[in-house]
Amino acid sequence: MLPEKLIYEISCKQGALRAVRFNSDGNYCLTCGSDKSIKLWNPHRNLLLKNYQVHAYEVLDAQASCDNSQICSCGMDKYVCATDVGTGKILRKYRGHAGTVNCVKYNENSSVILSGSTDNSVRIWDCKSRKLEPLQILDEAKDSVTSIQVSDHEILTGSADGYFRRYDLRTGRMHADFLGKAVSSVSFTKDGQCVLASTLDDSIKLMDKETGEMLNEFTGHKNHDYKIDSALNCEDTHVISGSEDGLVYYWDLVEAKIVHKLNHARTHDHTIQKIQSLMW
Amino acid sequence: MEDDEDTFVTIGTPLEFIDEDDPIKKPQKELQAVGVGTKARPRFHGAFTGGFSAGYFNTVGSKDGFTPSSFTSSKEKKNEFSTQRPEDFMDEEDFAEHGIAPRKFQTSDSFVSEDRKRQRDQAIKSATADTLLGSTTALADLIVPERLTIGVKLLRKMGWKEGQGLGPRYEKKAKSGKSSKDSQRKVYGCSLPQEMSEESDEEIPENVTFAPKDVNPVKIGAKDNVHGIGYRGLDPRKALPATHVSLFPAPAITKTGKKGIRGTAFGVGALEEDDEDVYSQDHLSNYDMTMDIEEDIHMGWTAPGRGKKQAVPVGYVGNLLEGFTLSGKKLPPRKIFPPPHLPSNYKPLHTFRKEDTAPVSHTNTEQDAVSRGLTLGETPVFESVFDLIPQKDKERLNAAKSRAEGTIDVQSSSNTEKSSSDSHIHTSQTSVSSAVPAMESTAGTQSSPMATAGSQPSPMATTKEPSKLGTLQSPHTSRAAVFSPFVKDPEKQRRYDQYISLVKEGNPDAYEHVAGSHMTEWEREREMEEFSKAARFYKPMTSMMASRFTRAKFHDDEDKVEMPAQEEGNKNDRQSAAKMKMYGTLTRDSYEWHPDRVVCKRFNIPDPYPGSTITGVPKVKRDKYSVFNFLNFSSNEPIEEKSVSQDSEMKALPAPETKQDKAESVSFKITAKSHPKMTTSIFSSLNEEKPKGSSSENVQKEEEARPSMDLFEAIFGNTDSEDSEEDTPKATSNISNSPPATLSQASNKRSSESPTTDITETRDQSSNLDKGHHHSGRSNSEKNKNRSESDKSGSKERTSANPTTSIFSHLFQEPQKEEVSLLPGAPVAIETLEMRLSGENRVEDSFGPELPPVMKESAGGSLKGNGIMQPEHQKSYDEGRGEKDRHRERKKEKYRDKEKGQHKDKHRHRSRSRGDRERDSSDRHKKHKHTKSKKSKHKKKHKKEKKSHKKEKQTVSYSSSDADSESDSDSPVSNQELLQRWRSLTKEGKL
Repeated sequence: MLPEKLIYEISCKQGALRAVRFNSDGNYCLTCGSDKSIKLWNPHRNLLLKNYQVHAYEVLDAQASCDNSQICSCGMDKYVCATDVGTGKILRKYRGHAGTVNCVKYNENSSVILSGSTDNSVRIWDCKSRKLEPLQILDEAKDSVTSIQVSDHEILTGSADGYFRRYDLRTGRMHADFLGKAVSSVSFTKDGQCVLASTLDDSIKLMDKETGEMLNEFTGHKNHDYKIDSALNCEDTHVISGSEDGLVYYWDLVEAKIVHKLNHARTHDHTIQKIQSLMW
Repeated sequence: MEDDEDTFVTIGTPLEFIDEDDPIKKPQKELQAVGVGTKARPRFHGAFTGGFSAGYFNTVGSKDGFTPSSFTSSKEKKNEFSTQRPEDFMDEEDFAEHGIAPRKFQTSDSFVSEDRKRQRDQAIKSATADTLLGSTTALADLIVPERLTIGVKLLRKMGWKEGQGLGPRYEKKAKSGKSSKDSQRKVYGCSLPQEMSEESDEEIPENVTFAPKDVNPVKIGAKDNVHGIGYRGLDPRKALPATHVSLFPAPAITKTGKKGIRGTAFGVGALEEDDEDVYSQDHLSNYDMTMDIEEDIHMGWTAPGRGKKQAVPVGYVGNLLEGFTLSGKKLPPRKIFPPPHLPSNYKPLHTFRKEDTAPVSHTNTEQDAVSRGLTLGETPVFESVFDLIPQKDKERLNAAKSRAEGTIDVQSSSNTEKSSSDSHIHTSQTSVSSAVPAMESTAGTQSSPMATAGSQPSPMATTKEPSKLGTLQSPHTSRAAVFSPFVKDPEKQRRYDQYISLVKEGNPDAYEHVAGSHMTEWEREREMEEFSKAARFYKPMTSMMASRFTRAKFHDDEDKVEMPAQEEGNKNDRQSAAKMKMYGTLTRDSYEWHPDRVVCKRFNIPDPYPGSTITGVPKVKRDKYSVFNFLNFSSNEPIEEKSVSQDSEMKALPAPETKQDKAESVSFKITAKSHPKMTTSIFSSLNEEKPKGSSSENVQKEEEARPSMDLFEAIFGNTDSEDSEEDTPKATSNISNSPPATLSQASNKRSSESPTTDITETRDQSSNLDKGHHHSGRSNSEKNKNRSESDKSGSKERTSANPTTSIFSHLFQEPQKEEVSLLPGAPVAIETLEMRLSGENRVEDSFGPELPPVMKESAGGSLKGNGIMQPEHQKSYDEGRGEKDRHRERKKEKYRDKEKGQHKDKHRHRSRSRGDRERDSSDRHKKHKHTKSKKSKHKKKHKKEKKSHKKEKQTVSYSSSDADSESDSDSPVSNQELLQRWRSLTKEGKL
């Protein structure tokens, strides 16, 4: 059940990797390098498929659209780009953020792009129209927005001000939950009932979405400074997170015990990569 | 044979076997290029598409053309006689668009217009309301109501019926009279049967009225030309021969009385009689051969009765116009009006009335006590208000005035009248640049017409005539044109304009010429003063100045602050709850949030707030200085949206919040309040240096107005925090010893200088107090010492005057990991706001080849601590860490709370430098340099350090004043007094 074997180790030659993201069906993955490039890989066959040069500075996050036709990416050049997968041409380049853009996400049907930035705002960009202004700016965060998740009707943002905020489009409400420490990563559980949030005090918290109560806490790893992703596996049985000591930790969701550590890592990149790969 | 068959291969189709006995068939000709109609029938080719398509190939219905209908009738099915129509003999194509009888489907005009349709629908509804059809529109559509014009409808409403004439109904009497006349009439031949007429007459009852008969109206064509009555134009066909090219369209010939064609047509029909014109010949007789001019006295007049001579009556002198007769009636004589009778003393010259005398009544209505007294013959008690002012004050005023005049100064206008003397002095001292906006602001509050007019000049000068101002020679002309300070009183305005023009001419006693004779001495004097003032104050700004100022586009009401509509929970509660991991209702805030309409569309979700115009979290404006807001400020909400998020600092507070913490937060508020501008944006404060214009007096004043700490504690004191048990005794003891009060005052005072530095200082205090907390043995004096240190440091920081420096301060509270992470390269560390603001962008990852692992290990520390990227002085700092520092470091280590973790080295850095300062001030220069990590500030630094010395001296004086105020606050103050102070404080803040 738990992945223990290291299948491939790919040297991406992109400098430090900022993010590794699988596409929606898990057959391909994108690596965001600090050398301004995004690379598309077939990780199952250890193949480099394409190299995208769309940013002017380090690329911090990327995501493939639901139909695999586009890639949205963001970086320290404050731009959010939508790139055509086949041709590698930039379809849209959204500017508007006043600072480094930390994270970027498509919504469920890839009609809008959401981006969170160090300018404390989340901006929603329209992919359908040619409009280059954001549809809406969510500027409730008091500090850098570190992570975004989108479900069919919710937007979840984690911010360094210690809050994770959930915008519910159906009910038209925004819930802000205070965790006390900068939130580095947020994600929904697969059933959509809970939120998994990593905070910079070496802990990952499983929060109830409706009441904001903490259901479980996962500790034992190290996460004090860096934006390290955490996630649940596809069956919601385990919590997975990287750590600053170079390991990938597995916790049992219910018992909150460390069940496994992956000690393959030389760098963080692989840590993240592994997490991502297990997310799907 | 069999073999042969096997080997043979047949290719192609074999020819038909020709039987020679058969008659030879003619190869059938293909129909020559026949067009194919819609029904795959060959059709006739016309030039375009016209022509009948009948006949064999273009058959109607069948090969034989149309099938003649035959008469069949049976018992069951009776033959209905039907007339044959041309359509029966036509193909479908003939009805098509290009056929000979195109059928178009058109909406008849009764269905075209929209309101017609509505009418119709209504009519249908009313017609079918109570029938079975009800409201089934399909059926209702079949019923087409008759179209009636509105006139008919109206007439019907009035009781008119079809067949009746219009007009009032009449009684039959006239008829009866007529009938009687008839009866008297002679009858020739056999007479009508008597009964008939009798019947018709007698049957009519007495009081029955009859409608008038319907009469066809006589149609009279309006005359639309200028020709004479009965004139007919020349018929060109009559005048010109037929061979002639007809230039004019022939008028339609209408032949009445005979059947036959109407209008123009070719040729002459068989039924026509006059055919002599058919072959019209051009005959010479048609031409006029003579050149002699007929004497045409009629001038082309074609009126009837031409040529008849009029009998000129006797005595008529003059020529009678032909066609006219003299009338028998005499014209009524023209009425003649006699000229008006002139008065005896009339002079045919106009003299203008003297206008001065005109508005006497006007001024009379507006009498005040003095003028009324004067009219009553009383001697006025005093001439003006100024007479009441003691001599000393007068001198002071004059001095101030002269000073104000010395500067170019537009402002200080009605300050002399309105504001207190000291504020006047203050404003007059300030330069023009600062004074002009000040004046505008004051003008807004004043209600006198002068003041309101006074607010006008600058925008008008800038907008209306900037070009004029540029080349302005005499400001008065433009002023006279632009400013009208006495618009309300036109007479006065006129006088003022005159006065201005006279002044312009250089008339020394201009007012004497202008002054109205009706005015009293006192009024005159007052007005003169007013005019001279106005002339002085309403000078337009010079173009240079004017171009510098512009009207505020938006009204910034500084008293209001935008806040989320919903209340937030107490921030401290939230923090402690988070600390205790009691997540839930305490840590949750819910807001109404309006998603954008398009976002909803993209998410395929119905808009939760349809029709809402706002997006995001709705904000409400609240009074900035309301007490409730302060309570809020102590909660999570920042003062303004984009302000330096002090709350993030608060959040960063790992220590359990104590009373002291709250005191801090209060002091935050005060600073923020007293300088609302500073909170607007961090970035704005980055590039602008805070003007230190506030003089010592101001500081003094603020100090006086500031209430003591106890009040804040009384108001904001929170007793429910879980740590309060341990801390309250301490806090109370502090209060009793009064340092917190002084602390707050000191901080307040400093806050007046630069609010952000104050934050650092309060932070310092907190750290000091924390230390104190752990070493309870420390005496108060020690604390005071600490405080004075912090004061000094505060003053130092003030000298830097860069608000961002203060932001370092929160790093004291931020637990920062010092040790190196194993893997320095890879992910992006989360930059919190504080880090970003501290200017310490930890861009560890550099491009190029990665460091070998060993290198990483060793370089890790410096990587983390910005070792690689750091400017040199940082390194020098590292090296230059003296023994003392280490010692202090160790000491500090003890104080440090576990939870707080390791402070950022920045913190240590700062505290160390402070410590140094404490020990030997000679070392200060060098160390102070370290506190600034930014290279760009190096240049400034020297200057500032010089300044800092001065400042320090100042702070000494401050501290002395501190002592004063300390003693003030030491004395027990009643709550009432405190409240008053509080109020004055808030007032001052507003002003």
